Amino acid sequence: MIPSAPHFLAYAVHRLTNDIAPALPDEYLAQSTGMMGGMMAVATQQADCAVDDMVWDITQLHELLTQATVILEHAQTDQPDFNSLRLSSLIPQYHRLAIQLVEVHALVEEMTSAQARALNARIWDYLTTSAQRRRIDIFD
Amino acid sequence: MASVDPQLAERLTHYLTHKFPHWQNLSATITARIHGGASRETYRAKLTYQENGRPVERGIILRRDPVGSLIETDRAIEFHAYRTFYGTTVPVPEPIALELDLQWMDRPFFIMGEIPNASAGSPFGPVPYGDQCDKVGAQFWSILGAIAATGCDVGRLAELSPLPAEPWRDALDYWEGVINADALEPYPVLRAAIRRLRRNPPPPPIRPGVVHGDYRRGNFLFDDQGDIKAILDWEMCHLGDPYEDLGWALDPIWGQMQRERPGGMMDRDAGLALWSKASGISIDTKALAWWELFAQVKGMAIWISSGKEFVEGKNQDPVLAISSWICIDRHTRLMADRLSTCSGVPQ
Repeated sequence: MIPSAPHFLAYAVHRLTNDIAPALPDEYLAQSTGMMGGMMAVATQQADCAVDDMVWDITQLHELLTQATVILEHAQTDQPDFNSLRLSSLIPQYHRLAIQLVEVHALVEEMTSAQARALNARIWDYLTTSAQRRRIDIFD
Repeated sequence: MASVDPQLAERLTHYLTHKFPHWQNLSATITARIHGGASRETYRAKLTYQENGRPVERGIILRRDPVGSLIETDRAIEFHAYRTFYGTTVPVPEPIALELDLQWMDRPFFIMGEIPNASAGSPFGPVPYGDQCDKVGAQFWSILGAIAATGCDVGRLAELSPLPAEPWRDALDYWEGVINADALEPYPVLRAAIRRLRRNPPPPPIRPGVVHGDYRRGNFLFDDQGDIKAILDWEMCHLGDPYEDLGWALDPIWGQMQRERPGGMMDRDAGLALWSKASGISIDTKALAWWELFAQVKGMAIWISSGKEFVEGKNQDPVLAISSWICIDRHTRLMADRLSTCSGVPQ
């Protein structure tokens, strides 16, 4: 059996934080090593859900921006492209859509129609849910 | 004891011998590099010398500008903040020397006295005060009130950082500028927070005064009796609205996301009452809500900058990466919760 990447990372985190860092005589190096262990623990957690989060965010953003085209004349959105699920492909898509959302959100906040208020509420629902999905709880 | 950085120790000895010629036969030993704030490289050192024929041994702290920094600040402001408060009811280390000439250590630095037998505690780990939470908290809020009560007549410090006409606008413009310069990705929640703050500015300060700029758990030293011995890290000190410090110190991020016990110390309302008593400034809950949201925007700017420094390799101290990772997550969640429910900040 080949150890999986998460299995190895969990081992490395444990060794770094519990064995190697405490054994280092230099206080600064010991604390730096402990922090690197903490970062590896976060990376392990993030790596498992990164693609899932990105696909969810891109899908949600696309839906919101499509809804915005109903009330904002110049609003537009790109179709999601999930032909590749590499993060290097998904992250630029997410950034483009998030920038569009920032622009749309600023306009919607200034509008008073019921449609605009409803869209504003949906945007906040997305933003709070997205923030919770990306939560790093290792240090809580 | 062997020096952890013999070359730096030699340069420090050379500098101090030049700066303080009456400290004879001086020898400096760097005993540790300290992990505390990446805005300066911080070292603990031991000095031995003779003064008026008597042997002296003392600990000092050397703070040198790094190549890249978590916060772009002027070390002169930090040094003069220590000068302003040294010997007052606001405990700070003794300021010893400020040096801007690059010949001595390649980068500007300053030196202050070491506070023995005291520790800072991590701002993000378990609460370090044990059953002395209330005792530490009472001092924490009263000292912050004393800083606010100092007013704007603070000599050199006021010259270096004069009071802006509109402290809220000055502060928000500055930190939004940092975000615009350093953000490597979009932050929809953060941008919404900035828009909310601009649409609903706070009233002018009830009484402007000294703002520490980073007053929180982890930036003060306390001993095992629960007595606060020194307030540290004044690099963002300026004149402004004392509510700025209040909003920052109240941020749940310093107390494992617990709003009701800021910094894991005493009850929020009791702390605010102590601050108000010490400062002589009443609590305007609406204005304070503005500054609490502002604190989260300012925090985001700092975490975004620290992440950029790390990514671009200007400063690879892991504290920059981990603070960026963890704190952007926490502040984004806090702002999203606050803004989606309004939480006292008008739409």
